[in-house]
Order: sequence, then structure tokens, then C-alpha cells
Amino acid sequence: MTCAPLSPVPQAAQFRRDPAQVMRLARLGLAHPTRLSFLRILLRRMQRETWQFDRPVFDIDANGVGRAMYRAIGPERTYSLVAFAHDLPADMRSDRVIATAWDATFALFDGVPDAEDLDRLAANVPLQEAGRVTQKELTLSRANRSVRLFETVVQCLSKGRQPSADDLAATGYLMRTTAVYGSGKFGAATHHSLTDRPETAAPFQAEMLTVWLIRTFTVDLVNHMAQLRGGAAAVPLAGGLRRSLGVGNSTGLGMAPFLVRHPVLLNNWMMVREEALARVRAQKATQADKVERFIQALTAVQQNAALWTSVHPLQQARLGALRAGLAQIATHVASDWDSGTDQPWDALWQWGQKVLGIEAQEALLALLLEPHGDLIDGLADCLSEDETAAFAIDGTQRVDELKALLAKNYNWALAVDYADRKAAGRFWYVSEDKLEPRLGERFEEPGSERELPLDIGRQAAALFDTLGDFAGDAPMARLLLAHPHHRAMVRRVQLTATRPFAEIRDNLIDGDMLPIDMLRCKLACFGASRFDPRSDRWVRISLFQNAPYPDDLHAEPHL
Amino acid sequence: MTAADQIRLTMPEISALSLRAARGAGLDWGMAEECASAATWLAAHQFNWANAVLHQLETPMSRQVIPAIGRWHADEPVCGLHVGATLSDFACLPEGPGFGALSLGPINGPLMLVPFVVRAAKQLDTAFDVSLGAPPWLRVSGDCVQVLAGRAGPEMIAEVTIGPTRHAPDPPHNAADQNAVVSRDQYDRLDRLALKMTVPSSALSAKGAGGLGLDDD
Repeated sequence: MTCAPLSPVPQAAQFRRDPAQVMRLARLGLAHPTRLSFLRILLRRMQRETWQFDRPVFDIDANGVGRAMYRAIGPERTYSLVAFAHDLPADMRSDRVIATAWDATFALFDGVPDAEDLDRLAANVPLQEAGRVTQKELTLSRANRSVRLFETVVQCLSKGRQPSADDLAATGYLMRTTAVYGSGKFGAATHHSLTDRPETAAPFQAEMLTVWLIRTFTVDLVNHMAQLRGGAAAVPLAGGLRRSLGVGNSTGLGMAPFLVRHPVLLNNWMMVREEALARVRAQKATQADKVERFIQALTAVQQNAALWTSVHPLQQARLGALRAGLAQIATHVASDWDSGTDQPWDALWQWGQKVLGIEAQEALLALLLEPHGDLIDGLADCLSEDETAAFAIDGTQRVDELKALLAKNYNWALAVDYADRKAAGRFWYVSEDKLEPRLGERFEEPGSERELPLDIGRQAAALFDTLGDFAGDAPMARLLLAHPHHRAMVRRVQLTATRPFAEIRDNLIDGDMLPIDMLRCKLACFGASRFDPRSDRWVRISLFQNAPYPDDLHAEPHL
Repeated sequence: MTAADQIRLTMPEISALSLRAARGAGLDWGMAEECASAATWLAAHQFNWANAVLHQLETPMSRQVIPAIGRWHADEPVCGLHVGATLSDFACLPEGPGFGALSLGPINGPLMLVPFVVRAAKQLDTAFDVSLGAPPWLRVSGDCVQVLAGRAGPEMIAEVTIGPTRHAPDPPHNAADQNAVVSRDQYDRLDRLALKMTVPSSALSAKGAGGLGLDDD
């Protein structure tokens, strides 16, 4: 990341957390969304640039079958979400990647599609992975209705009643996406081709715009179906209830390897967040409006935590800890914290480090960033980077230099006994049927000889051992000539030397490792909330819950 | 070739397919990453990347080369991909091309070498002429390439020499393409290789990949 020299808070460096603390899976797995999460970056930009929105097509029947189009009109370009709505039999509805049909399918089009484009999209988008899109499309996505909520809401509205707020809160969304593909997948435009556009330069902006417009579509759909069913008796979903709904998302292991396979991006995402925290902590003083904004954010987070439910025992325990921790923060801020003291935000942070559990510490991090947009929002420009620039191996590096880097940055990996059945109990692989990442039990299932290189700790330890066979002044090129199987790890050690947050500092093949921690880390970067694990490797979340819609975006303060 | 006989792939798709195919063909992960990187470079510069990759992955060939100052040694023609990666590693060392003309010996599939010569040129901030035992074939500099004469089919075996030049590629050919077409046959062959790095889902892992409860609520 290259933003440090431009920092308005040069003294922030001394307030940065140690990567050895930040990058442990047990902490990453408790990450919270922040104002630097990708969906917040999108909303702020659209508000700042006064984007306009409309719905030129909405041709859907009483069963919810048809097509719609939403346009997001920015200062220079327009993007169109094209939606195809289907009436899916209940027995075909599945969130799994093995599904072949969905309640709705979507593409985000670059510009405004003409009739020919729409015909092409109609022939391909409903097929999802089995179809092809083009460089004119930025994303490809699909969603399923919530069986618990969708029909109930249509039924209530058609009879002139609002659905129960409790029912809405229990689910939190009318539809959940099961995949949002972008970045060149299935023929779509590459992220690289969009980086010269300010609105798509930050990570996953096209994907976030897609989901945000899908959210509007889901509400329009229930209102429309209720109106067709109930006629004059029908009412639209009330504003407050509408606001409480997000878009659900089901995420499995497919998302997990991304964090390991893209260390440059992981470093930037974490570095930006950590730099933001450090800048806030470095403030000599604060103002009353910032304290007030902090308290507002704390109240909102407490309300969210109260509504956040999960059936998973692990998450239930985490929720209990979060609620208790937030209550501790509220009490401390109201009674003990002196906002007039020197470096008041750092004092609050230091108190949290001594008193709070990890879950609440990470929540406090997100809260501290909320009032400080003027100080930290510019860091969004540092999230993306051309990963290819760091690809070449420095063959001149001496063996003793690489060894020192391993000892410094991979000490968490070097002491593990990878011959132990638990320490190497699992292996990551790509499934033959759906080409999706899976996690296998090394000593119970076949296929470990084809495992994915997510065993970073084990590779680091093996490389460290091999280095001992070489003279300290030998160049890396000589080592790789003799031991080409270390090439991937040498590249990684060199790359992480200047990127302290590039590596998850835990053994990812350990029998006790929780993949959902990797999922939550990434999803929090997106801005997801209401994490609800369904197993140790499958999680439901909500996006854009309590966020504005296109028709009230510009009336919204504090984005 | 009709449209049905070909498929247009984006650069991330070319990278992912090449990575998996290389791994399926038995390359270590690090070399598979090099293969994917080289494939996307070739595709972006409108070379026949798929044939180049397939030749390296489907043809048994030596991977052993001994770098030395001025002239590298090999007992038989060596895989262009492996020589390329080694050239990149040695680029700034005395055995590399930064100290005068360098003979790399007989290379099997010299097209695959080109992305690595470009990388070496970038590392050394210089331009190179690449010769296949005759007048220069290519001139490269940074991310630019110029074909000077002839062509190198993917199955060619040639004595390759790299020499510094004061001339930059003219006109420069920068990478701009975001996708490239491959024939259905090429795609299927790469896909078959890629499948060799996959594992059939066991009942245990397939169950674990989803939620424990209903997934339609």
C-alpha cells in the first residue's frame, strides 16, 4: 500500500496494532463491518455524486414471473440491473452452488441495454454458470426467496396489513443471493478493465451495486404481487419495515480461499482498517459532535445486536459476549470515560483492550471509525492494487535474508508439528463436480495429494528447513533451481515482507480450524451484518440492512 | 472456424484455467502460477497462448537447465516454461542477460519463454532482442513486444539467444486485450488437464459444504 506518505496523521504509525495480534483467525473471525467496508464506500460515493435512479422496465405477473430493469445514473456512466424473475417450485430451491434454478437471476449491465442485449441476457442470465455473459456485463447473480417471509409479506400486504416487525426481524430479508459473480467470471468485464473508473476502482463496487439494486427489486416485487393479488385493498410495505430489510446471502467455502490466494488485497483491506483505527487513536482531542456520533453509532449497534439471532451455538455464545461487551462500552462511556482527556479515543481503546473480549474489541474498532469520516474515508483509495506487480521473485535475495523474513513473519508457523494428525488434519481441494473449494479430512478421505496450497504454515516450515541446507549468501535463484517446489512459498515470503497484514497467521489445515472465521473476515470487509453460521463452513449474512434505498439515499445523513 | 467451435475467455478465466491445467499436469503450484501468468501475458498480446500452454503441459520434455555466465547448459531441449522461470530468477545475477548476450541453449516451445524475457527486461530496465538461431525474432522492453521476423510455433525447438539492444520495440505493442478466443478443442484439452487437479466430493465433505439444516428458509 502506498498511502502512508500522504497520511494526514503521520504519527498514526505508532498507534498501529501488531499484525501478529490482528491476523489471528480467532480475531479475524470476529470482524465487524466498518465505514470503510465496500458497501459503505459505494453508498457514500453515490450520495456525494448525487446519482439518480429509475426503473424503466417492470413487467412481472401475479406469480412474480417476468423481467425488470433498474438504472443507476452516475455523473459519467449509467449501470443497469437487469432482473429475470421466475416462479421456482419449492423442491428446486437451494442455496447450494449445485442448484440449477433460482427465484430470480440478475446481471449488471454497463450502460443501458438495448433490445438485442436484453434478448441475449434473457437467454444466458437465467442459466447462470451454464450461460455466458460479455464484457458489457459487470456481474452475474441470482437469488432465492425467503420461504419464511416472502409469501407472508405478500399475503399481509395484499390484505391491507403490514407484516409483523418481529417476523421481518427474524429473517431480515425477502431474498438472499446465493452468488454474485464479477471480475471476469463467465465472460463478464474484468476488474482490471474498470479500475480507471472512480466508481469501480475500490473492490467489489459493481457487486455491491448489484446487491443494493436487488434489494430494491425484492421490495418492489412483494409490493407488486400484493397489489395484483389484493387490488385496491393492498398496501405497500411501510417505510420503517422496508428499511429494516437487507438482502440475505448464503456463503460457503468458495469464498474462503480468496483471502489466501490474494495476499496483496488482504493486506490492503486490513492495512486500511488498521491505519484508520490508528489515525483515530492518534487524535490529541475530540469534539462534542464526534462523541455524539459515536454514541449514536453505539446505540445502533446495540439495537442491531439485540435483533441479531442465530441458531448456531458458537454464534449464540459470540452474540452473548457482544451484547455484554457493548453494554460495558455504553456504561464506561457514560460514566468513566473522559472525552476531554489527552488522546481520548486512544484512552477508550486502551480501556477496551484491558476489559473487553475480542468480539467487543472488534466492535469498538468499528464504532471508533464512525465519527471520523473526514479523517479516514480517503483510505478507500488504498484498497485496490495491481496484484501482478508483486509477482516476480527476487532471485538475488540471499538465503539468510529470506530466513530472517520467515523467522520474523512466519514464526507462528514454524513451531507447529505438521506430522501431528490434528495439525494437518484437513486439506483444501477443488471438487470435481462443481469446481468449488471443499475441505476434506486428510486421514479419512482420499484426494489429499491434490490439495490446494492453503497449507501456508506447513509450506513455510518446510521452506525454513530447506534453507538450512544452503549457505547464507546463496541467492534465492540457486535454491529454487534445486528445490522448485518451494517457488510458491518463496514468492509469498518476499511479497509479505512489505505487507504485514497479508497473511492469516494460523494453520489453515488444523483439524480445529473454523472456516467460518475466514468467511466472516471477508464478509465484514464487504459490509455484511447479522452473521448466522449454519455449520462450521457455511454462513448466512445480510447486506444493506437499515441502509437507504435509491429513493431516499439523498435524504440520508451520516453515510 | 465457426463461433460454435470457439469460446471467448476473459483474462481471469485464462489465468484460472491455465493454473488448474498446469497443476493437473503435475507442475508444482509455484510453476503452475508461472504458467498462468505467462498464459495471460501471451493472450493479452494476441499470441496463441492455448497452444503454447498445451504444448508445455502435454509434451514430455526436460526441465533441467544449468545457468552459467554467457551460456546455459542442457543435455536436451528444455521446457520453455521452466527455462523462462529460471531466467526470471537469474535476471539480475551474473548468469542472467544483464551482462551481455546470453545463449539459453535449445528450448522446446520458445514462445512460452517470451513473457519471462519481458519480465527480465522490466527487472533490468532494458530492451532485449530474442533470436532463434537466426536474425532477431522479437524485440521486447518492459511490457511491450515487437515481432521482427518470422514466427515461433508452439512445438518449435530452437537455440535461443537473448541480447540487450538500445532500440525499443517500435511500434510498441502494449497489452490491452481483456479476453481472447480459444478453439473448443483447445479449451477441452485444457479442461481435461484441469480436472486432474480436482477431487471427487466425498459424502462427508459434500455434506459439510452446506448448512446442517434446511437451506430454503
